Amino acid sequence: MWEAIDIAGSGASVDQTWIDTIGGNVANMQDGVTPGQPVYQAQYVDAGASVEPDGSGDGVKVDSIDVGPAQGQDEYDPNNPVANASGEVEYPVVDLGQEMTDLIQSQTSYQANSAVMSHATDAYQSILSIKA
Amino acid sequence: MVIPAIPAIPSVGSAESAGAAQAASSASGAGAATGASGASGASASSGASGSSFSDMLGNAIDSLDASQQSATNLSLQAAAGNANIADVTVASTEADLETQLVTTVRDKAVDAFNSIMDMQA
Repeated sequence: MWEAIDIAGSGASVDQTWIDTIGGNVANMQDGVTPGQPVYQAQYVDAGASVEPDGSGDGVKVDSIDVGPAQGQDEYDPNNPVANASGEVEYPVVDLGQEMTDLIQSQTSYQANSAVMSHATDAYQSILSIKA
Repeated sequence: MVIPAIPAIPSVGSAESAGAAQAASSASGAGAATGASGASGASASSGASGSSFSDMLGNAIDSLDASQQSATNLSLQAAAGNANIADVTVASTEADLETQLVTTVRDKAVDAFNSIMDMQA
């Protein structure tokens, strides 16, 4: 029962994961390491349609979390304690502008799914309140 | 949860058949229909309509109980910081809607019963 609400809920869950990865990317974009050490890799949600065995739609799900490049970008900062002999520090590849754009999109998508949930609830309630 | 069987209502006209048909259609929505006699309408003069209605209402209340348990558990997990807010909202909204569905079906059945009881000359 209540399929529309379940489907909108799956969308909101995926959007939540999306927002979480954006938060992680922004929080870790300044994680400098000595060049050659493992650097933080940006995370990106790969979402796909969730289909039931009979072929009907069942919302959306996170297929996988893809990661950005393992090779960071080097910046010259000789006073940094983790700088190497030539004064370079390696930072993760995170495009802040892209992350902010994704944040707006994910927020709008979350609101859209929330609106579907709200309107589906109204629709179900209207059918329940029919008087004989 | 155990629901005592509701005695069969003698088939006396359209009021009951309308109520039974509604009950049957709700039951199939809940996946709980077991030989509901509503489709046969006024011709279902045996006691079968009474027992199948009580089965349907019992199954609906079992399902409602499960929804509410699920909503309660998710709310507790959310309070502890372990659940997704969207999942909690979905579970509590569905428990709310299911409560409204069961009470609506109950009200319709009571209306049907009362309309029969009021038929005193």
